[in-house]
Amino acid sequence: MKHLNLVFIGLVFGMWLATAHGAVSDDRATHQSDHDEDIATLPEVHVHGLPLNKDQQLGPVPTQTPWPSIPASLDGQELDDWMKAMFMVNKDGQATVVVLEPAKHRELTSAGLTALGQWKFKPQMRGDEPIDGQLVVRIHFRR
Amino acid sequence: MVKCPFKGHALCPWCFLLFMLAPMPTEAEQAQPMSELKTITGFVQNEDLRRVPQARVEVKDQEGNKIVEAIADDTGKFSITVPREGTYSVNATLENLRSEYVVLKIGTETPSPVKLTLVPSTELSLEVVSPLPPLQYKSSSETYALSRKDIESLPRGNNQDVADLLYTLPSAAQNNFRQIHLHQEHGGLQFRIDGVPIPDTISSVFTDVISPRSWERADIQVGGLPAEFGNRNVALIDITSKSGTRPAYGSVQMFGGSNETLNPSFEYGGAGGDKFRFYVLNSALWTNRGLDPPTAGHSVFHDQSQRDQTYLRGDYQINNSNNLTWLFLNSVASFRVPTAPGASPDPAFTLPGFTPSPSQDINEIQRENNQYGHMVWRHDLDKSQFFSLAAYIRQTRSTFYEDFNNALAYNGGVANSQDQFALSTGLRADYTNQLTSEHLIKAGAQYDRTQAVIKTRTEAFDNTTGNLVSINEDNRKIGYRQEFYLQDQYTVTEKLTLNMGLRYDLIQAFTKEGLLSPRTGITYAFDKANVAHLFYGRQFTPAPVESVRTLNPQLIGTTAAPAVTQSGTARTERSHYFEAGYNHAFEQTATLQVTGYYKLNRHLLDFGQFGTNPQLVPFNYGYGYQRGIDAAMKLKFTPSLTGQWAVGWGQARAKGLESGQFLLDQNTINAINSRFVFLDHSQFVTSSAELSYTFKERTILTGQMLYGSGLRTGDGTDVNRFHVPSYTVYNISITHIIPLGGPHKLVLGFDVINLLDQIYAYNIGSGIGFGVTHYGEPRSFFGRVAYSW
Repeated sequence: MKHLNLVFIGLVFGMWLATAHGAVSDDRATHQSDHDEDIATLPEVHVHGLPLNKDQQLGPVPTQTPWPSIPASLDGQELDDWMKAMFMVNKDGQATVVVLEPAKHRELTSAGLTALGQWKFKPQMRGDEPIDGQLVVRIHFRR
Repeated sequence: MVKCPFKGHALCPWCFLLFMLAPMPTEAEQAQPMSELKTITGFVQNEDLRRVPQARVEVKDQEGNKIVEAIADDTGKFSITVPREGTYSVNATLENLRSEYVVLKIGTETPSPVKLTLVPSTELSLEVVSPLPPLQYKSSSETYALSRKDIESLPRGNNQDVADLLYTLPSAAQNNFRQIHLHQEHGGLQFRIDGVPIPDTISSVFTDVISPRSWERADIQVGGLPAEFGNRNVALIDITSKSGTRPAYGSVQMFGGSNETLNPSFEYGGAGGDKFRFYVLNSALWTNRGLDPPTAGHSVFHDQSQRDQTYLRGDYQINNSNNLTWLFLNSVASFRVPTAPGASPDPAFTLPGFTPSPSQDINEIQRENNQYGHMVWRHDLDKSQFFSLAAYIRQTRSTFYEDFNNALAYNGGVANSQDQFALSTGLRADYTNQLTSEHLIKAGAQYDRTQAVIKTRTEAFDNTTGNLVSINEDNRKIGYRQEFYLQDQYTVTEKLTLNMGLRYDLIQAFTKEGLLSPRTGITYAFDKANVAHLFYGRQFTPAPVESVRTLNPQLIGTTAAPAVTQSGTARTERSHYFEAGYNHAFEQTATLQVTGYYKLNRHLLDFGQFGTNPQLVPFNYGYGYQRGIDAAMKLKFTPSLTGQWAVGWGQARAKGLESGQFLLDQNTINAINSRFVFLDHSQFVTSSAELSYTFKERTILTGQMLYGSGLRTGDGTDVNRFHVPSYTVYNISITHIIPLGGPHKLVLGFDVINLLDQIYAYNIGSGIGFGVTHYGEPRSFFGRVAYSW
C-alpha cells in the first residue's frame, strides 16, 4: 500500500515537473508571473474601439463588442461558470472565434459564442502595417 | 410597532426568527433613496486580496461610451451613480493593471457590490452578472447548492468527506461508515460528474471516491427528481468538477491532527496547447480511526487505515461544437476492523492447542480497490440542441480478510472471509433541445452491464462431529439495466412551470423487471418571494447486483447455519412518491424552504450490516413508507456574515420480510411480519446549522452544529422499537489566508471537531442490520496548511 502511494505521488510529481518544464521551455504562459515582463498595457479602449497608439498594441482592437446574456433556459439557477475563447483576426479585420475552454453549461458556451460572433475588430498594427493577431477573451457568468 | 427588518411590514411570524438573529438596520440603512438603485458600489483589490487605492473605475454602456468614472478611495472603495437604468460595464485600471469587465443591469433593485480584481493580464475578461432571483422557481424538488467557497469555509475545509458536506442538508441522518440517510432512505444517492451518472462502488459507503477537493460546485436536488434521473432516486448530487485552465494553477496541502491523522494532497490544472487541458489530484490518508469503532470516546483499538485517491481529468476541444472529456477516478484503501476489549472467547469453539488473543487484538482487515473511468463526447448541434454520448467502465473490489481462529472463538464458531468484485460497463446518451422559449425537451437512454462475483470462505464446526469444516462459495451474477427517458420543462407562463416526463427502466439480474414511471411536477411562483411546488412520480430502485447475498445450503448442519433457512429473491423497490414544497424569500437576506414528502413502497429495499464484516447487504420488506418534513433556511446577514439552518422530521416503517430472511432470527422476522416496524436508519429529528464570518476578506470563522435524535435500536419482538440517545455535536474552525504576492497564497486552518467532547453512538449493536456498535468521533483537533499558486 505504501509502495503504491509512493508510486502515485512520484507519478504525479513527475507529471507536474514535466508540465512545468515544458511550459517554460516553449514560452507558453502557465503562470501569472510569466507575464511580469510583458507590457500588459491593454487599456480598456481595446474593448470599446477607441483609437490606440499603434506601437502599444498587443492585439487586434475590438470596435463592436455586444455582451452575451444568460439564456432563459437557465433562469432561476445559481451560476458560477465561465468560458474562454480566442479571436484570430487577420490583417483585413476579419475575425474567427475558437473556443479554448467551454462553459460547463453548454447553453452559456452557445450564448457566449453568439455574442462573440458579432464582435468587430480593427487589425493589430505593427507601425503602419496591419498584421494578423490574436486576442483571448474570458467570459465569466455569475448569478 | 416593531417592523420586519427585511420587508418593512408588521413583523410576521416567518420573519420573527430573522428579526431575532439579524442586527437591526440603522436609520441610514432604513432609508433607501431612489438614487441607491442607480448607485454601483464596490471595491478594487489586487490578486492577493489587498485593497487598491486610487484605481480608476469606469462605467460604460453597451456601445462603449464612457458614462461616468470615479477614483477609488484610500480603502479601495468606490461608489458611482449612473444617470439612468440600463446595462453597463464596470472596470478598474491602474497603471498597467486592469480588472475584468463586470456587466450589470441597473434597474429596480439595488445592485450588489462589485469586486474588481486588478491583474497584469493580456486577456480580456468579461464578467456577466445577472441578479439571482432569491428562489429557484422552475424546479419541482428541494434544491441546494454547495460552491467551492462553501466547502472551504466549513470545518476541515476541502479535506472533508462527501458525507460531511451532505450532513448540512435537512433530514440527512448520520450513520457509521460515513453513511448518510436523506429522506429516511438507506442510500439512494446519485452522484453525477459533468452530466454523467457515476455508478456506486461496493464500498462507497466508507470510501469516498469523489473527493470534495475536486469539486468546483455541486447542485443538489432532493426528492422530486425529473424523469432524467432514475435507478437511485433519493437525491442527485450534480458535481461540476475542476478542470485545467490557462494559466495553470495548483495547490499543495497538508492536513492532519488527532488520531495520528495525516492527509497530504496535491492538485494541478493546466493546459497543453490550445485544445487540451488537464487536471490531476492526489491525496493520501493515514489515520488511527478509519472506521467508527465499537468503543466510546477516545479509546480506539485496531482501527488504523490508509487510503489513496486519484482524480485525473482531460478535456480536448475538437472544435467549437465538439469536445471530449476523459475522467479517471482511483481509490485504494485498507481498513483494520476496529475491536473492543473485554470479550471472552468461547472454549467450546476454540481450536485445540490455540490460545485466543485478547479480543482487542482480533485482526480482521478489509481492503478496497475502486477504479472508474469515462469518456464523454459532447456535440452541440446548434444553439439550442445539445447531444452527449458517454462510455464508462467501473471496477470495484472489496476483500475482507478474516482472523479465522480468533473469530471462531469469539463469534460462536463462525468465521468467514469474503472477496467481492464487480465490473460495470455502460453507455449513456443524452439529448437536450430548447425547442421554444416555453419547452425545454430532454431525452436519453442508458445501458449498463454489471458482472459481479462474491467468493466466501466460511470456517465452522460440524454440529454432528464437532470437526472444523471449511466451506467455499462462489456466486456469480451478470446484471443488465436499461433506461429510457423523455421530459419537458414547459414554462406555461412566467409564473407556472410544468415538469413532465416519462421514463422506463428494465433490469435483468435476480429477476427480470421493468417499470414505466411518470414524473410530474408543477411549480408556481406567486411572486419573486413565494414559490410553491407539487410533485408526483413513480420510482424504480433495483438492488445493487454486487451486494446481494444468497443462502448457502452447505452451511446447514454447521455452527455457521443461519437460524432461518428461508431466502426470498431480491426484488426491485417500486414506489409512489409525493412531494409538496413552499419557498419564501425574505428579500435578499434569507430564504426558507419547507418540503413535505410521502413515499409508498412495494418491495422496500433496505441494507444492513450482518456480522463484523463491514459490508452492507440488501434485503426487501413487502410494504413500507417514508414520510417527513424538511425545512432549510439560508441566511446572508451581511456579505461577511452568512449562515444556514436545516431541520428534518421523518419516519420510515415497513412490514413483511420478503428477502434476506436467513440474515435475521425468527423473533425479528415474526415482529416484522406482524407490524410496521421502524427501519434501522430512521431518525425522528435531524438538524444542522452553520454560521460563518469573514473578517477583512482573509480570515474566516465558522461554527457548525449537528443534531440527531438517534437511530433505531431494539431486538427480537421489540425490534427497532427504541432509539439510541440523541446527540449534538459542535465543530468550529478558523481559516486565515496569507497573500504571498500575485496568485500565490498560503492558507492556514485550525479545526476542532466535537468541541464539547460529546460521547455518542450511531447505533449500539442491536436492531435490524446493526450487528456491531459504532461510536462517533470524540473531540479532535486538526490543522491545515495549503500553498496555492
